[in-house]
Amino acid sequence: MRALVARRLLQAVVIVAISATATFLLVQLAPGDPFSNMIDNPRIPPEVRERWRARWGLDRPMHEQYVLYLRNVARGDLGWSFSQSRPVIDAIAEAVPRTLLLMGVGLLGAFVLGVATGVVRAGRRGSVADRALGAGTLFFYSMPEFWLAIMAMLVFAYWLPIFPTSGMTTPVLYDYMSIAGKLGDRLAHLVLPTATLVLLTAAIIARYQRAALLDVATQDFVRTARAKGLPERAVLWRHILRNALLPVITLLGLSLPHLVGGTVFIEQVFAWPGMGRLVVGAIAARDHALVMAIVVLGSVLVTLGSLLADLLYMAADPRLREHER
Amino acid sequence: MTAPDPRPQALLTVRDLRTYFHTDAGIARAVDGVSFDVMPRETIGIVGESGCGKSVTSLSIMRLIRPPGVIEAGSRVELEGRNLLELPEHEMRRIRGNRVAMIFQEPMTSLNPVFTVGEQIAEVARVHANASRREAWDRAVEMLQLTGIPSPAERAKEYPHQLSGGMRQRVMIAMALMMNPSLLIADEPTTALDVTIQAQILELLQQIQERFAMSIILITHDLGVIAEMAQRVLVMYAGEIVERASVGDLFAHPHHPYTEGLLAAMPTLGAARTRLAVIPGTVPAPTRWPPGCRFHDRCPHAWERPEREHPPLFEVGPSHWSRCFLAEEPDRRRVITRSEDRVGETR
Amino acid sequence: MTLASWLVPLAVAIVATAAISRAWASAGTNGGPWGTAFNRLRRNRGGMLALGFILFVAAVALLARLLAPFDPNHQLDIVALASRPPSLAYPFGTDIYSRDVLSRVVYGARISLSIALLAVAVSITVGTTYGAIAGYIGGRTDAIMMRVIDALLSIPRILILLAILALWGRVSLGALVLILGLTGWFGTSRLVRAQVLALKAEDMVLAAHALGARGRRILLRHILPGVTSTIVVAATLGIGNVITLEAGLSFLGVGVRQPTASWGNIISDASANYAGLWWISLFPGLAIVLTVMAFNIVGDALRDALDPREIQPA
Repeated sequence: MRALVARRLLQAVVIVAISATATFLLVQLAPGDPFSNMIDNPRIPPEVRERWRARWGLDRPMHEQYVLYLRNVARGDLGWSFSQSRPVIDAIAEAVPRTLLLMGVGLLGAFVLGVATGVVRAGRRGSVADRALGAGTLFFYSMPEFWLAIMAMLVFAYWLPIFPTSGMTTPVLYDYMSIAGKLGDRLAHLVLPTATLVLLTAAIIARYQRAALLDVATQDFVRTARAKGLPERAVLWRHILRNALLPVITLLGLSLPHLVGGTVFIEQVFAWPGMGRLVVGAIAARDHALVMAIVVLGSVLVTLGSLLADLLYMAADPRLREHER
Repeated sequence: MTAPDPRPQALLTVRDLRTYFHTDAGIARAVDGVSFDVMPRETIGIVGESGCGKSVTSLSIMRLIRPPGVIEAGSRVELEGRNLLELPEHEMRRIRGNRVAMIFQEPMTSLNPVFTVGEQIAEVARVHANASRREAWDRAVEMLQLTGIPSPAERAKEYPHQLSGGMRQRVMIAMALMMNPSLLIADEPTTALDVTIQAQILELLQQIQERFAMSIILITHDLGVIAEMAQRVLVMYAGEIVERASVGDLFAHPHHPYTEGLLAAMPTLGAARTRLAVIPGTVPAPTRWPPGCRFHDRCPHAWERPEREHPPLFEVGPSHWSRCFLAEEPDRRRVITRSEDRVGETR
Repeated sequence: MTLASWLVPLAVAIVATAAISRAWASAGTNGGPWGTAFNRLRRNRGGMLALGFILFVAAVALLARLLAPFDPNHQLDIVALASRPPSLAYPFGTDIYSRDVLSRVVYGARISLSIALLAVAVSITVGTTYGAIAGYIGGRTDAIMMRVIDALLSIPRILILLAILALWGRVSLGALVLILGLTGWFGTSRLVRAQVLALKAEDMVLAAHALGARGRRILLRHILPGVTSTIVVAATLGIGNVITLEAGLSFLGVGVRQPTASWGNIISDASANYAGLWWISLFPGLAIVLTVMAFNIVGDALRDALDPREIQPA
């Protein structure tokens, strides 16, 4: 078992290395260098630019830059962010937990809602409920994240001013709130962005969960369970669902890239100060170092997430465990 | 006051069982008027080729038919006097796995891959006898031992994929025996197993039948298995019983042409024959049973009457029934000769 | 220009759907796996409706010049007609530059649809080639090729796109199509490879070999049809995906650049005041959702129709 985990970790490292390399190549292929935007500013004399180039090793051959880059990444030195005037790692360290909060709650909610929807649909196959939920799922599945975010904001923050429109906390007033008030404020700000994420991701999960449930329901061991005289409830929860959750766990792992991407738009619309908002700002400011670092980080997050999903799957499916024989 | 009925009471009575599947392509009459009795402590074999309705019959007895299948009104299935078809579902659940148990053909897919075999066997006791985890587990291990599994306590903690095919089938049998059922339905229990394992499983079934005083309905397409295990046989074709007899009678004096064909098709060691004798043609579609005898188009004795008239069951011997007009018109029976290469016919 | 002119794309869509339906019917009578598939597809009401909608949108895009009441960049009256909510004269309202939103949405259909179609064409081509080669060669080469795919798949597509677009700055529409296409083929290659592997091992291929068929030629004749169905489904679902992606990128300002209208960047015009300019986000957004839904429905219908498990014996 431990060997398996070690192997997966190694695979994860390789994957991250490949994405870091791909990112590096991307930067190399791009026209100009990170300092070309500064070329727009004629006031910077060429000698200064040359010095900057030398300092960041941009005048050295590619393979040397590559080694330097990898070494830096491994050390945690992700460069300097010009738009934020601080090390990239600081900007990221501040933003990542906020995105993780959003994603974590979102994923949990999406899982519960998605599985529940799938169960209801599979249980009442062909009924009005099934078809209505199916249409709803398809509707949300086909929706761009930013649009749902905007609509959610319009409905629940403007027309029915229940929730705040943006940010993580109410500016200024937050500092004067009580502990309970602060918690409430944070929760209130969390609702809309999370709900958006939940609805969209749940749609993806529900789609596959229903198919997985129907697939499992026709398998022989379900017939055996009924032949044993088990109540239908036990057949559903203990036998069917337990097996149908397995492909959903795999799905969660596979949909992580999409999830990370989705938060970019949600954070943009709701001005949630996380990774997504950071990268959009960095693009606008032509802050290449920051953009690159976030891309690699995105890959790391996804790889870690899918590693977790794999481990979860292995724990859930005894057929994948190595047995002592 | 009437005298007590000297005939032993049947354990299971099936009368005019009809199970139809209402599909878009039409109504498939998978089981179309099947009637038989199962006595206590007897093994009754149901034999027939794929699609004849034997599995659906057994599933109907257990009421495990799912939509679009429906057990049609007018059917009767009585277990120890109670009509199972009229019971509310929660009552029926108390019978399944408890008074009547069933084992299936594919032991691998019939067991849940994510639970240990012990848990799955114990589940039966927990549901029916409200046993505690401990009690149920102990009894499960006991059952495993009974079915001849070595080191049952360790095996119980294993998962289905860790066991061989023969062992999985023993697990299924153990599961079926947990509550000491009066009737065991075995649907092709050995078809998916190696020949040597087959023999072991059959022997096991015989042993437990003795020990538990159970009746067994054994469903198979293999006449050899029938010969070994059953006392009485039902031959099914196209949703109907076409012949009903004791095992001895069936093998010695088969009446229905289909039975004859089945017996002839059994490859025998040492027979001087270069070609297997097959029954030409295929079973008609269950949505379109022909109006007359359903075996008509494959029958070597066929004439006009069975084409338009549907034969009922005729008594052709003591407790020997055959669904064939040859019972009334025996001269119509042609003599089939089988040369080395051709199946010919002379009148 | 008038309301009546909208009947034209509607008519086109209905006629085209009927014609396709009829063509499939005749293909169906020929039998074979495609025939059964077409028959099943025809009977899927929702699928045909969605197909009709797609054809309607395509017709609108093609006939944009006829249907749009105004030029999409034409500023009507920056003083009096800017930021007007929907009215009879301007059914989708006007934006902050007093441009008619309906016209922009109509022309936007042209942009968004063509980008998606072309990008998916690129993805499918590259993905199929890569996957087919990997599956056909097998062995270590295949393993390595797939490991690379795993790595590339682990980077969220949005981030790659943002990174590229950030580095290259303004890109032409053609370049955008290429970039979208070249970031979207990874999944397809996996699907195709799986199909190729499965078909390679299938009995009919072994049989063909046993009959002395010339390897590559017969493999292409046997494997290609099997792969085609996977590709068609993947392409249909992929188009919906790219429409959403392009909309998102354009919304962020890095995709299709103003003043060219795409459904996504129309919405970004409202970002200063979402509530006050609700019509600017609502209508283009609905266009996106409905179109993507239609593609998803058709994709699902195709998948169901082509699923060999669904094939009933004759």
